Amino acid sequence: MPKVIVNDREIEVANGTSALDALFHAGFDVPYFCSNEYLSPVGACRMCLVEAGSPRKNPDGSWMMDDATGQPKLFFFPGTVASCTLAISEGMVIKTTSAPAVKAQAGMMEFTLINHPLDCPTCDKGGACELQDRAYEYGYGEARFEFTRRHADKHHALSDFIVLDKERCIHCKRCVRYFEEIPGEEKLDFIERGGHTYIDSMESEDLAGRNLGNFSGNIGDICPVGALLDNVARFRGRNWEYDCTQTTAMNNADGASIWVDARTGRIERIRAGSNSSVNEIWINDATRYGHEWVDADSRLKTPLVRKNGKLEPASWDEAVAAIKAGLISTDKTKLGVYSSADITLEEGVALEKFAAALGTINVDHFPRLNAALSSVNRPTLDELARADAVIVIGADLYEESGTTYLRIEEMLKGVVSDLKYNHGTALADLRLKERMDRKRNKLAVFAPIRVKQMEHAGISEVYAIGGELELLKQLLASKSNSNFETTPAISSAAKLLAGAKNAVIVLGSFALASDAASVLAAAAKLGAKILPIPAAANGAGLEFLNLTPGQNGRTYGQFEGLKTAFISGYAADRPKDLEFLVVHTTQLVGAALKADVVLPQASNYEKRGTTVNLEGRFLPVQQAAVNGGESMDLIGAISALADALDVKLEIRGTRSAGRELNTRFGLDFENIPLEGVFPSKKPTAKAAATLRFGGGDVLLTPRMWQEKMLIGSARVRESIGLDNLMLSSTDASKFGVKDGEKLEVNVNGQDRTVIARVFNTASVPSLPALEGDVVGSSAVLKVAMAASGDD
Amino acid sequence: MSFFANKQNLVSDILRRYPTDRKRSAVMPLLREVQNAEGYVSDERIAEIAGIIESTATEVMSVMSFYSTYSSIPTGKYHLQVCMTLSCALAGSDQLWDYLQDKLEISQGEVTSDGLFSLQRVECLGSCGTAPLMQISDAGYAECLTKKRTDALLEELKRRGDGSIPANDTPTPVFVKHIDGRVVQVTSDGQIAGGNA
Ligand code: SF4
Ligand code: FES
Ligand code: FES
Repeated sequence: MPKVIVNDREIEVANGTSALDALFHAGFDVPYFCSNEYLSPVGACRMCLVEAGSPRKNPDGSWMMDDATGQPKLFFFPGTVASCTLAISEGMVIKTTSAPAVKAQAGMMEFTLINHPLDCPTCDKGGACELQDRAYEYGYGEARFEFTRRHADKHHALSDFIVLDKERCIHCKRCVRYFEEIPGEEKLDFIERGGHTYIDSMESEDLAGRNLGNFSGNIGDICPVGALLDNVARFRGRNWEYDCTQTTAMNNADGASIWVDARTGRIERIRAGSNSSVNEIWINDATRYGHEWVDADSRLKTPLVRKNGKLEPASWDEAVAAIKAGLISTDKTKLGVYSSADITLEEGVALEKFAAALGTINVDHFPRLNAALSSVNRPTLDELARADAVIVIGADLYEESGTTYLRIEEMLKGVVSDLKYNHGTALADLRLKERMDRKRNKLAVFAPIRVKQMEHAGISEVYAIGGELELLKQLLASKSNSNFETTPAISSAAKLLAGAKNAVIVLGSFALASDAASVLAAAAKLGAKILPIPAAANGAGLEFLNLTPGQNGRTYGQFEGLKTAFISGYAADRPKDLEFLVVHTTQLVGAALKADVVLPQASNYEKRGTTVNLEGRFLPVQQAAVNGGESMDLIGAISALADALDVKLEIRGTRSAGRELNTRFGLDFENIPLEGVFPSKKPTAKAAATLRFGGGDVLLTPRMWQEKMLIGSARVRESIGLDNLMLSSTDASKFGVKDGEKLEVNVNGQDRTVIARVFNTASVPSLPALEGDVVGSSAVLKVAMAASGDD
Repeated sequence: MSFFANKQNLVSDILRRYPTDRKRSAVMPLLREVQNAEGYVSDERIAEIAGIIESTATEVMSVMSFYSTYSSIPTGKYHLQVCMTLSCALAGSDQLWDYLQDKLEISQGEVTSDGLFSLQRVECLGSCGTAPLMQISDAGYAECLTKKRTDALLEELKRRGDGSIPANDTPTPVFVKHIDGRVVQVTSDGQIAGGNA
C-alpha cells in the first residue's frame, strides 16, 4: 500500500484513498462541509484545504531526486488544495497544520461566514452545528465584514416537513446530491448563482401531495448548518436539552437505527442513526416524523375499566380486580392471547410462557405470514447492495421497506460505501460520483400494479393479481431453457438470473400475503438468495417463538367459539360472541372501544428489548426518556393478567426474558450491539396457516405511513391527504366514478373516504391498506356514494 | 400550448448535436429558442424543455436561473441590463440604476406600461473600461453612461420602438482626473462618469 506522510506521521493507505481520508486516518483533522460518508466528493465548500505534494518519476521509472537532500524531490501543488477530491499517491506529503494551510482554512471560514446570519441563538441546529463547531475550531473568531449581509427568505417551505432558511445555507450541495445519489429522485437544485444562490424544487406534487418523496427528511440530518429544518421538531428545544437515545425503529422490519430526542418526557424529534450495515444514515419520513401520536392527548396513560357500560379510568389494581371478576369462571386453557407482531423478543417470549402456563393453544401474533422466513437463504442488506442481479417480485418497497429500496438504489450505482479507516466509513469515497451511470439492467421489478422502483428498473412488468406462483414458475422454466416462451420481461429476468453469481430475489407483501409458504418454496428453486419482507416489525424474530396457534387453536382473526380474549396491539373490531375482552393498546380506537378492560400500552420508544429485522439481524431496542404515564409493555400487562388469573409466571421482566432467550439463541441479550448481531444458534422457526384473504376486487397496497401515526399529527394527516383509490378507466365506469371524485367506500367492513384516481392503463383497483387490513391481499370494495363537498 | 410541438425539425437538429444518452446537454439551445421567441421562459416552457431532454423542471430552472441571459418573467422590447459589478459600481452604476428606475418608473422585474422597457441588474459585462454601461436586449451595449447620454439614448429608443438600437458611438475608455482634490473618472465626452453627474 502507498505510504503517505501527513504532517509528521507516516501512514499506509490503499490506492484510491482521498487525501481527506488519509489525513483523518493519520489522526489529524481539517474542517469540511460538503463531504459526507455516502455522497460523492465534489469539492464544493473549499474548507478542507491542505498543502500537498508528491514525488514524480522519471521516464525510466526512477524517482526524480532532490540533489540537496538526496531524497525524491517533492512537487507541491501551488497554494492549497481541497483534500476531499485529491487522490493520494505513493510518497505524498500532506500538511494540515502548516501556516499556509491554517491561514487558508481560516480565510475560507471567514468567507463562508460573510453572509451567514449568525443567528445561532434562535437556530434549531445550534449546539449541534458543523459550521458552529468548525468556526470555533478553525475560524479567526472575529468578523471583518463591514457591509450589509445578504438577506433572504428565512421560512421557505420545501415540503410539509422541511423548511429552508435561505440565509443560513452555505451551498455545500449535500442536499442536492442526496436526492440524485441516494433515493435517485432529482428533487432539488441550486437556483440563481453567486451570493443569491438558494436551493429549491420545481417538481410538482405527486398524487399524495408529497413533492419531495418518502425520504425527504434525511436532508435535515446532513445539512451542515441550520438551513434545512425539521418542521415537526422546529423550535421544540435546544440540542443540549434533549435526552438522546439511539434505538431501532419498529414501524417496519427494516431495523433502521434512529435517535429519539426527548425533552420533558415527550418525543420532540427523531433523527436517523448510523448503522453502516443496515440503513447507513438514512430513514424514511414515516420513521422520522410519525411519532406525534406517542405524546398525543388521546394517548392512553391509565387503565380503563367498564363500569355501567362505560369505560372509566382506573388504577392497575382496579384493572386487575376487574379482569379477575370477568375471567373468574373462564377456562384458562380456552383464553385467547394475541399480540401484534411489533413487540420485542422479550415480550414475545413472555407471551409464549404465559400461554404455556395457561395451557391455552389459542395464541397468535399478527399480522404474520404462513411461512417461516428463516427457512430460506436470506442475504444481508450489504449483500443485497452488492448483488449482481436483483429481482423484486410483488413488492412496493418505496412504501413497505424504505431501507431495502435504498440499498437496491445503491446496488444500481455499483459502489457500496464500505471503505473503512481509523475514523470509520470514508468521508470522501472517490469511487462515488455525481450522476453515476446506473446499472438498470441488473434490476427487474414485477408487481400487480405499477410501483415506484419500476422507474429505475431495466426490466419491469405488471402481472395479474395473485400471479406470483405462475411468474416464479415461468422464471424457472425460462432460466433453465432460454427458448421457453414467456413475456419479454420474464425472459430477460431469467437471463439476468442465469448469468448472475450473487442474485437476490426480494419478495414483498403482494407476493407473500396469501400463501407465503408456496411462494417461498417456488422462489427457492431459482438458486438465488431470497429476501422476504416480513409482515410486521418483528415478524422475523417472533417466528422463533411458540406464538402460533396449536392444533385446532384459534388463529388471530378466526375467533369462533372463543369466549374470552386478551389482545395486545391494534385490533379493528371486538370479536363476536366474546364474553370478556381485555385490550392492551396505546389509543382508544377499534376493538379497545368495545373492550371490558383496556390496559395502557407502552410504545416501542418506551421499552428495552430486542427485535429482529428482515435480514434476521438481532438489534437492540432502547428506552427513550418518554413519559408514558402508567402504561406498561406486554410483560407488564401479562403480569397483571397473571395476577388476576392466579397464574405463576417464570418471566416477570425484560431481564428474566433475556435470560430465557440467551439459552435459546446463544446471545447475550443484555448487550446486543447497536449495529446488530446474527445469533450463533437458531431454534426452528414455527409457521402456521394464516387466514386466507383474497378474491376481492381491490388490491390493498402498503403505505409507509401507519394509520396510528396520523393520530395527533395534523401535519402528517394534511400532508398525505386522503388515500387514493387507483382505478383503470374500465373499472371507473364499472363503479360509476370519475377522476378526482371524493368517494365513500367500504373495504373489509371499514368505511373510508378516498379520492378516485383514474388511469388509462389496465390495472387492478388499488388502495392503501389500513391497520387491521392484510397488506398485499385483495378485498371486496363497495363504493357507497360520492361524498359531498369538493375539498 | 406547446412551443416545440410544431418545431420538430428544430428540436431534432438541436438534439443531434449531443450524444443520444446525453440529451440534457441540449438545455441551453432550447432555452435560447424560447427566450428569443417569447422574451422570457415561463414555467410551462421549462416543463416542456425538461420533457424533451428527459430531465426535471428543477434542473432546467437551475441552469436557466444561473444565466442572466434568460429571464423567467416577461421583458420589454428593450431589456436594459445594467452592470453592477466592481468597475461599474466605482463609476456610478448605483446612480445610473436609480436614475433609470426613477425615469422609467419601473424596478427590476417590471415592464413599462407601453411595453418598451424592462430593467435588470447584471454582473460584469466585460467592458469595464467603458463603465458604467448596460446591455440592451441582445442588440448591443450602451457605454459610458452619463445622465445626458442616458436621456438621449432613451429618447432614441422610444422614437425607434422596434427593438433596434442606434449604432454604438464607440466610446473611448474613461480617464482619471483630479477635480477639487478628488480622484474622479471622466468619460471621453468630458462628463464625470455616472448617471448623476
Ligand atoms: S441547504 Fe444545507 S445541505 Fe443544502 S446546500 Fe445549503 S447548507 Fe448544504
Ligand atoms: S471542498 Fe468541501 S469537503 Fe473538501
Ligand atoms: S464591471 Fe461593469 S463591465 Fe465589468
